[in-house]
Amino acid sequence: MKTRALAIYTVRHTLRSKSMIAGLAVSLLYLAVIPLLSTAGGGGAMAGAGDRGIAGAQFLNFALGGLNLIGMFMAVFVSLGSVHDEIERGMMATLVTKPMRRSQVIIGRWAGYALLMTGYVLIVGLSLWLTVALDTGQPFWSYIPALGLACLNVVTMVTLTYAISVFMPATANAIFAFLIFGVTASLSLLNIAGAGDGIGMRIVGNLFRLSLPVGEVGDQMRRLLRFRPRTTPITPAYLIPRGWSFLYEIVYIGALLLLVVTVFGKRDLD
Amino acid sequence: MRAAIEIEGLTKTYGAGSGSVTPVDGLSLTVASGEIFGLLGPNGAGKTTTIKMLAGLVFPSSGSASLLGNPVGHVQTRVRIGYLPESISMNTFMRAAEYLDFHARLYGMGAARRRQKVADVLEQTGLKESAESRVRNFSRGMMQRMALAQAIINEPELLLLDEPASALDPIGRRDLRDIIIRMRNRGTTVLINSHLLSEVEMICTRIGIMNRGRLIRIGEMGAIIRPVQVVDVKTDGLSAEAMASIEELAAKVDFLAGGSFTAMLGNDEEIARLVEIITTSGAVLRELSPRNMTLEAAFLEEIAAAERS
Repeated sequence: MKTRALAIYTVRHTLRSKSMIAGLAVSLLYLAVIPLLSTAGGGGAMAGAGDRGIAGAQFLNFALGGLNLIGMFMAVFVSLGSVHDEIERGMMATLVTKPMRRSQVIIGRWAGYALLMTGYVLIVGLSLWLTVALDTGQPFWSYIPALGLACLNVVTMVTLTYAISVFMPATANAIFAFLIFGVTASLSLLNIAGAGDGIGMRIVGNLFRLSLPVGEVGDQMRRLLRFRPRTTPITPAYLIPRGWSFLYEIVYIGALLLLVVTVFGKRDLD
Repeated sequence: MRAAIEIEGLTKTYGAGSGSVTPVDGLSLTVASGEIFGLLGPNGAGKTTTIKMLAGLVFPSSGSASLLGNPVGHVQTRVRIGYLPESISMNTFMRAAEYLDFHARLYGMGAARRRQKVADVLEQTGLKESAESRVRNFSRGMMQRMALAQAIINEPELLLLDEPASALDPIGRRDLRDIIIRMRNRGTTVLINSHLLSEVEMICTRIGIMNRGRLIRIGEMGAIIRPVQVVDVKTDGLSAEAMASIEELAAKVDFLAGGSFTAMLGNDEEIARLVEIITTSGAVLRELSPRNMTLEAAFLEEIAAAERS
């Protein structure tokens, strides 16, 4: 009940934050503009795609990729100062001194951010599907797993930023999170590095890929929508089978949460 | 009487080696149940760090502390403890009643009890009229009242207050005093850390003075604020000869305009001798008021003595 109360409080608080309001405004703009690219019969950006089914799949792939990116950016911005700044402002002191474990505080706050961002991706993602399904008859059930992976990516970014916020203030957190994101999102570069002959390059490529698996899972998301990603021609020597990268991402989220709970549990809040 | 707070050799050290800082150094203290205990000291004395260690926010480097019979950090004991931090910022989008309801949820209260307790603490802290106002419209004093409200919403058996009156106006301070006294009458133990010595003087039964992380004095308020033989005197027609005699008698005397003066004397006999000098000189003694030492004077004296030693 206490963890749930914290999660609900976090959702309500974050919904009123400037980052969330700006993100929602961008999303509305995105929802308004993106259907223009999906003109019936595969016109506009989809011209030449052949039949309506392929055009629809290509559009969903393109639109969901955009949503995935916007969602991950929003995830970073909403959770930037969550732990560090709340300690500085004294808000954390009134929570931690209540009759609950520090781990409950951490999990409750994280659950709030994760729920909010998952809800956001689901609502916008389903709206995107509706704009295409009415036009091209794109099947719902093949879209759902891809949307699920987009949600997973957003939760991963929330968790990463949230974890860094235990150690760093908002600005440093933003720099750090975007640095990791920037490097690991360049999947084609990582694949080239990972596919190299030298063992050193393979290790570097794989380490980057493992340090934030959102690029790999985004790739998997595109494959689910029957679209061949640009990165496939180069096959890296990857430690995890490509179809299972989402499982690694779930473990990654769990490991980050464990790290946060452990560090926060031993940290002086002064 | 059983102890509400027991501290034994509590130490907090930040850093290591030559750059380390020890804000609390081997503090030992017992606060009995039902007591209002004031923790005083200059900036950097270690008061806030001590309260933070008791609240479970800061982990001690060594030593131990227990609250209400359980070690600090015991989750279930926190149901019986209220804590008001020194500085607090709230999520301004919330309404006052909503904010308090959220904190009541964290104490695990059911809906009916929450409603009753929120209304109760809003009334106690003088925020009843602002129950549905958003916190962003609150003054600093009202925020402080809100912070106090969240600390007492669980009817704590032990209340830890870190600078509770710092942002309050005189009415707010009076209300705070009333709340603390009411809680004491219900059996609540209160530990207050405050710079407002006059407030501490009015409500605390016992005080401890800290300096450089150590407890340098502890005792009943009456023992620390001891009577001093300083008298304020008003006379008419005091002659130069009488003034000379008074100067000889008193350790220190300050003559003011219009026959008034302040004299520091050694004992009651010297006060009697002063009255005799005035009356035998032919002057009229209009007023003679012995002064009590204030807590502020006692505090400054203790700190100065500690610094000298």
